[in-house]
Amino acid sequence: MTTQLLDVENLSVSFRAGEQRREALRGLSFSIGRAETLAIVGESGSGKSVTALAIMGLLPRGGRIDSGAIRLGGRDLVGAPPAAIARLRGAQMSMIFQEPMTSLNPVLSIAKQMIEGPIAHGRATARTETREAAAMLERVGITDPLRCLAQYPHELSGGMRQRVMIAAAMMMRPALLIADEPTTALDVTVQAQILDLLRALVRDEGTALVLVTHDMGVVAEMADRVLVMRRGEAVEDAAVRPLFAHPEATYTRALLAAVPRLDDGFESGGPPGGRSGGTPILVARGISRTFGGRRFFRQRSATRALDNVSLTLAKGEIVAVVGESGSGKSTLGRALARLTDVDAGEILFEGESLTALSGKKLRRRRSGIQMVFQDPYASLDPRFTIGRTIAEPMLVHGLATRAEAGERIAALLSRVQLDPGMASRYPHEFSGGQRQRVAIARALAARPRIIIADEPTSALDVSVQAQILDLIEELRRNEELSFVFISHDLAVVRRIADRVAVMRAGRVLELGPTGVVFREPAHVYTRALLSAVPAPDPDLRGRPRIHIAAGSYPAGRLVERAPNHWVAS
Amino acid sequence: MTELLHEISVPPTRVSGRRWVFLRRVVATPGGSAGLAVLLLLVGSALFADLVAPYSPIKMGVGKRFLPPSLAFPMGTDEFGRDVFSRILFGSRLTLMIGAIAVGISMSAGLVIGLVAAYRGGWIEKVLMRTTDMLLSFTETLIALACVAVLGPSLANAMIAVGIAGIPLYARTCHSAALVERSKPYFEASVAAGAGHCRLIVLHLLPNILPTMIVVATLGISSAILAAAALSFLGLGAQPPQPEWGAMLSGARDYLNRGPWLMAVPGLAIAVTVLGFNLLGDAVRTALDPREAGE
Repeated sequence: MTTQLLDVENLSVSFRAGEQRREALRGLSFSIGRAETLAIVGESGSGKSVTALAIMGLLPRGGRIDSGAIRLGGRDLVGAPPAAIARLRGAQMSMIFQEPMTSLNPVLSIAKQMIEGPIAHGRATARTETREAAAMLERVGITDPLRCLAQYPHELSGGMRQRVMIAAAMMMRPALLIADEPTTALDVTVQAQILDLLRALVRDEGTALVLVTHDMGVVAEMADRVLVMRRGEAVEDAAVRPLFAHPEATYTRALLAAVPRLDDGFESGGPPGGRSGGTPILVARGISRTFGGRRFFRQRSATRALDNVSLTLAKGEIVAVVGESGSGKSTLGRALARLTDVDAGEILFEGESLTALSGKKLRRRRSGIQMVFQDPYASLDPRFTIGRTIAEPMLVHGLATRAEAGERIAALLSRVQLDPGMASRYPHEFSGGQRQRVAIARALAARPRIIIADEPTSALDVSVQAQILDLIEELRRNEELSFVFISHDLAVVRRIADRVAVMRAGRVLELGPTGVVFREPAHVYTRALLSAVPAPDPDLRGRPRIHIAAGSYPAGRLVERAPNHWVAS
Repeated sequence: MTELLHEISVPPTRVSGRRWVFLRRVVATPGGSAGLAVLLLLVGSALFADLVAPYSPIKMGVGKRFLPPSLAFPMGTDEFGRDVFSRILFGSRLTLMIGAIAVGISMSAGLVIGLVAAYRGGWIEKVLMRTTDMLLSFTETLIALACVAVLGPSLANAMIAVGIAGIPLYARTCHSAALVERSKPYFEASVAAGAGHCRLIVLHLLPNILPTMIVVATLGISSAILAAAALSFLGLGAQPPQPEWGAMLSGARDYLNRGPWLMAVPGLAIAVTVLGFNLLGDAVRTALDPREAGE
């Protein structure tokens, strides 16, 4: 037999779908050795998560292994009695999930959850295990493990929870650790720390790591070998360097080509048609927004979501707003569209103050500023046909009669590269990328001058993301539309934006032309952010990271460092 | 390359006959088909009572008092010699009417209150919802009793009273469902598109909370029927000689020894109806659950 730790051979899995069964995995084979990191990449529906669940024996109801073998340490898990797999689960193999917010039980203390596994496997007593748990928490970089053990999940941040999850998974020193998108829900700086931690664990404990991810950057940063999956089949299985240097399969090449990169040379092309410096179409001057504050019964601490933020947007310009969660970037977008009120400051749209308007006048005026949201599943009314959704702005503003609307809908649908014949269908019949196109068509229907796009591609696969970005660029070029592009993804921003505003804790820390900000970041936070982004290039692995503590960076007035390049002092 | 990437995105699939799919899912569970059967039976007897009933529900029969169930009188006769089977059949009309009207009142008032509260927010929401909370802390029957005490005893007033008593529950459910929809991006997109109040409430909020409300209503019919029967039993609802099941139960109480079937029959009718609507409500909820919906 081989010396491989995990050997998956010819694995086929299917799910019940009504009367028939839908195949999720078709004849998948791969293996992984001790202390090895295998990344499984693929887009949604490729079967990468199903693979992880099948190995763990955790397939959801309706799922079934049709054929094949999963050998862990030479022992076949397919057809093994559930009790036998349960004995291995947690002890020999462990799993970490994507959502640190929901994968810990909110009513149990951290200590209880950490020793749950060892106790269930009949190992030792609660007392010794608690000592062990404290040691493990220290190992995953939690500074005060004893205090942490007594805490409950809601008292911990997302990054801390993911550390606890990893510590809990490692309690039994499993030979195999499966991590399903372990950092997808985290901010990039936290993601960098978690990836560092996983790498150290693999190195020190000799654990084999199966890393399920959609992020080529994470793959390049972590993997020894890569398994590329598509529609339940392995497309390519190769060591990480050859895969990135000379991808064999067409699909892998397409996938890699669609990944936006931080180090794309601006010299070769640059952002097309940058129009910074033209007449500003939208001006935000010193806007602030505070949430919470005084309540009826108790004093609540107020959060400053926006703190004296100023921004201009020229005609045909794409300004990106980047930041981590809680930076206030989404609130800024909503404030610019006047979907939320501001406490102070002024927003001028084509020279007219939006902040002073209300009621009918505001409704008419703000049709010039439209929004595209992140979640393509929630941003279309499920009970409207997409034709009706797109027609809404036209009918509301009397831009078209009912008869004309039909033609305009068809025109708009082809404008966003959808079949005009689809107008009578409902949102649930469309894929995520198609829905996002519909959302853009709806925004265009109001004949806006500005579109505020709040993470428009975050929920999409990279190939679909590339198409949506192309569409945005084309709209800017051909229709002189201006965009405020809100994103946490620096590589996407680099590809599309003319100027970038970096936000943290409600303040703009750096604002300047994209090329300049990415090449010579002037603010320490921008530098930290950039150094944390995993590069989709295995040769750039292990670059030095910049860490900054909260509050240890300048966040005062913006000072012009170079023409158009503003940095907080 | 581009073609390859295009191919990756899933082509939209057409789902046809959503209504029939829904009905099939309701019937798929044993509870759902049982509930639907009870509903059909009830509607059938209400529609065809005139044709099916062998006797008049109110005409008394001299010398036929307290006849036990027989071929001529399948469910026996009551203290006035009236055929119980005929009375039950005609009673189903009243029962259905009570359910529909009481739930109709609760539902429409609840929808208005809940939607306005969720949409407007601010002090309007606080006043409406705190009042609702206050009313929710009394049992429905108590509120219904108070209403009948004011309106006076009659079947129509009992329906109104039961309807009013149900409003808080519907308002609360509607409010929380509307809050969820209100916070979704599609709603904000419509606001950004410039949609007015009416459009936002009637075209966006209402259709999206209706499935939830239908479930509440289906389950609510049974409790409305039960509450109205209770009022009639207390003599505050249907008045003699109306063949209302609760009132029949009440009248039979004095003759428990001479005609036990007089209590058993309307009691069973109420129990079966309430059970049927509960089962149906559960099945509707399951069928509307998006997690069950699948492809």
